[in-house]
Amino acid sequence: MPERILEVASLTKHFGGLRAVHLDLTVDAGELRCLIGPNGAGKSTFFRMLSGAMRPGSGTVRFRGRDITGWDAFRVARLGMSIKFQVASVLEELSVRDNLHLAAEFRFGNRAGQRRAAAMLEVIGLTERADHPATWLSHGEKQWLEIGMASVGEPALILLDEPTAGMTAEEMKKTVRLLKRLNEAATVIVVEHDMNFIRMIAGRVTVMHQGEVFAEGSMEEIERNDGVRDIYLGKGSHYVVRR
Amino acid sequence: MRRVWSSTETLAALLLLLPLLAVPWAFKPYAANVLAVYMIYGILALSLTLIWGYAGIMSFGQTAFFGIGAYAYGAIGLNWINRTQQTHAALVGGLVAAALLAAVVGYFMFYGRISDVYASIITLALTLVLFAFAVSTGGDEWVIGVARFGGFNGMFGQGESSQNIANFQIPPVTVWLPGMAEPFQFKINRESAAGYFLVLGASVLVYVVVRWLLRVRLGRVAIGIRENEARVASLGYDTRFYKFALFTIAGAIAGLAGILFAAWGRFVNPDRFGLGFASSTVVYVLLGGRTSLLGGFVGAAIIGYLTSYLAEIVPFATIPGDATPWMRFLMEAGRRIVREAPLLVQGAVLVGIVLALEDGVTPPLSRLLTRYRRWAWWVLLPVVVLYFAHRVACLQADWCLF
Ligand SMILES: Nc1ncnc2c1ncn2[C@@H]1O[C@H](COP(=O)(O)OP(=O)(O)OP(=O)(O)O)[C@@H](O)[C@H]1O
Ligand SMILES: [Mg+2]
Repeated sequence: MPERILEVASLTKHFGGLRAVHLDLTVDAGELRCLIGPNGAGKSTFFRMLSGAMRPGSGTVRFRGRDITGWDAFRVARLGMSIKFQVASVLEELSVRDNLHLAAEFRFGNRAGQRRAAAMLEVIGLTERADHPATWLSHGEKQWLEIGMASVGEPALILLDEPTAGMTAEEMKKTVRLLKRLNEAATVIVVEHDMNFIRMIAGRVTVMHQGEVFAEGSMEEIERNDGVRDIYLGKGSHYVVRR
Repeated sequence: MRRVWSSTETLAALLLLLPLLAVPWAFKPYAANVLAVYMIYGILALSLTLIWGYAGIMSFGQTAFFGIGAYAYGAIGLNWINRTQQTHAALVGGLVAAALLAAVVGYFMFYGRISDVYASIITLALTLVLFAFAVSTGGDEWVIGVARFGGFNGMFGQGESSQNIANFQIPPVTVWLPGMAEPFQFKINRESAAGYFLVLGASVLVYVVVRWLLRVRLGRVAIGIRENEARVASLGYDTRFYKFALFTIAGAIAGLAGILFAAWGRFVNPDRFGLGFASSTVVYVLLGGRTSLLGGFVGAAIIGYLTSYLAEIVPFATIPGDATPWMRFLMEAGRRIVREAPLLVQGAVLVGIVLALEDGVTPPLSRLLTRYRRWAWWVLLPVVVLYFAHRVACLQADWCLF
C-alpha cells in the first residue's frame, strides 16, 4: 500500500456564518490529484489552510506523517509542501531568474540555487526572458513561472490553484506535459475548472461542493455521476458562466 | 562583456567622490563642516531607505536610533575621554545601544504579529517618548558619571570647580591604537579635515555594505517581502526573522549616524528625537528617491542647501518707488514669506518636486547620466575636475584665473 502523504480530518473554516470548508481527504504519495468544484466550493480556502497561509478553524492536517495543523507557512514549506496561489503572486519587480532563485535558495543555498533556477528556466521555457522583471511576462508565462517557483525547491507535495487560468489551448497542453513531468518527482494536487484539462491529466478526481467532498473517483466515474452534473450545470450554472 | 571603467556607476562614483575628496582644499573649512552634516543625515536617511524602500517597512521614528547612538556615544565618551584619551568604547557603545534598541523594538513588532502598518506609528511613538524623556533630564540627578544629560540644553561633561576643571563638551572621534605615539582626533577646522574624511569614509562604507546586503539573501528576501510577503513565506522563508534582522541593521546604521553627529557637533540635545527631525528624515528619502541608495544623501543635501540659501536671500529688498500698489503688495509679501516663513517655501518646493517626480530626484538623474554617458564622461567629468583643480590652486597657491 502506498504511503499516505496527506491526511486531512474534519478540516473546517467558517467565514462569519458561512462554512466555507469542512472536509476529510487523503492523498497517496505520487498521485496527480485533481480537485474540482463550482465557484465558492472552498477549494482555495482549503489550499490556503494546508499551506499555512490561513489558520484552520478546527480539524487536523497530517503531512508526511506529522501533524502540521496551524503551522506557519514557512515551516510547512520547509517540510516539503509548496503552493501556487490562485491569484498571480510572482514577485513582480524581481527578474524571472531571481524569482526562481529565491524559491530554490532556501533549500539549496545560493550557488546550487542558481543552478537549479537556470535548469528550471529551461523546463518552463523562459530562459530567454530570464532577466526581465516578472511583471513583463504574459499571463501564461506568469503561470509557468509560478509553477516553476512551486517546484524548483523539490517539494514532496505541490499544490496548484488554477494553473491554466487565462491560457490558450496550446499553452494548456504544454502545461499538462509540464505537470506530468513534475509528477514524476512529487505528489501534485491541482485545482482546475477546465474539463479538457482534467481529462488530459487523467488522475484521480475529487469534487468539492459547499466545502465538502461531494464525490471522488476517476474522471469517467465522475462524468457519469448525475449529482456532479447537477452541481456544475444545475441552477445558476456557474461553470458555463465562468470566463 | 561589460566595460567596468565606462559604466555609469564608475562615472557616478567619480563625479561624486572626486569633488568630495577635494572639498577641504577647494573651499573654506566651513564647507567641509556643512557637507559633513549633510552626509551624516544622508547616512540616517540611507538606513530608512533600506527598510522602507527595500523591505517596505515604514519607520517614521528612525531618529530614535540616531538619538540613542548620539547620547550613548556622548555619555561614554565624556566619561572615558579624560581617563583613556580615546573614544573606542564610546563608538562601540553607541552602535550597540542603537542596535539593541532596534532589536528589542523589532522583536516585538515582527514576532508580536503586529501589522507592518503600525511600524511607522510605533517607531514614531518611540522617538517622541525618548524626546519627552530627554527633555525632562534637566535636573542635577540626571548624570552618568561626569556626563550630564542637561535636558533641553543638551549633554555635556560636568567639571569639578574644587579641582578647577571646567565643564566640557562631547569629544570628537578620537583613536589611540597601539603603536601610535599620541591619540588622533577627527576634527574639522582650519588645520585638519580628518573629521570630514571620517564622515565621508563612513558614508562610502555604509553605502557599500548596504549594497552588498541587498545582493545577498537578506536583501533579496527583503525585496520579496516588499513585493508579496505571503508568497515569500510560502517559499520557506521566516519573513519575521528577515524583517527583524534588517530592522536591527538599519537601527545600527542610524546609530552610527548619531555617533558621527554627536562627535561632529560635540553636542546632542533632545531635538534629535523630535518630530521635526523625524519628518525631515522621511522628506530626505522621499525627495531623494526611496528606491535609490544615494537618494537619502541627495535629499539631505538639497534640503540642507535650500534651508541655508533661504536663510540668506532677501528678495525685493528695495521696492522701486514707481511700483503700483499691487506690485508693491506682492513684492512685500514675497519678501516676508521668504524671510519669515522659509519652511513654507521649502515645503512648497518639496511638494512640487515630489508631485512632479514620484520616485524622487535621484532615479531621473541617474537615467540622464546613463543616457548621456559619453557626454558626461568626456565633458562633464573634465569640467568638474578642472573646476575643482582651479579652486584648489586658487585657494592653496593663489593661482586664480578669475
Ligand atoms: N477571506 C474571506 N473572507 C470571507 N469569505 C471568504 C474569504 N475567502 C473565501 N471566502 C468565501 O468562502 C467560500 C469559498 O471560497 P474559495 O475561494 O475557497 O472558493 P473556490 O472553490 O476556490 O472558488 P473559485 O473556483 O471561485 O476559486 C466562498 O463563498 C468565498 O466567498
Ligand atoms: Mg479558488
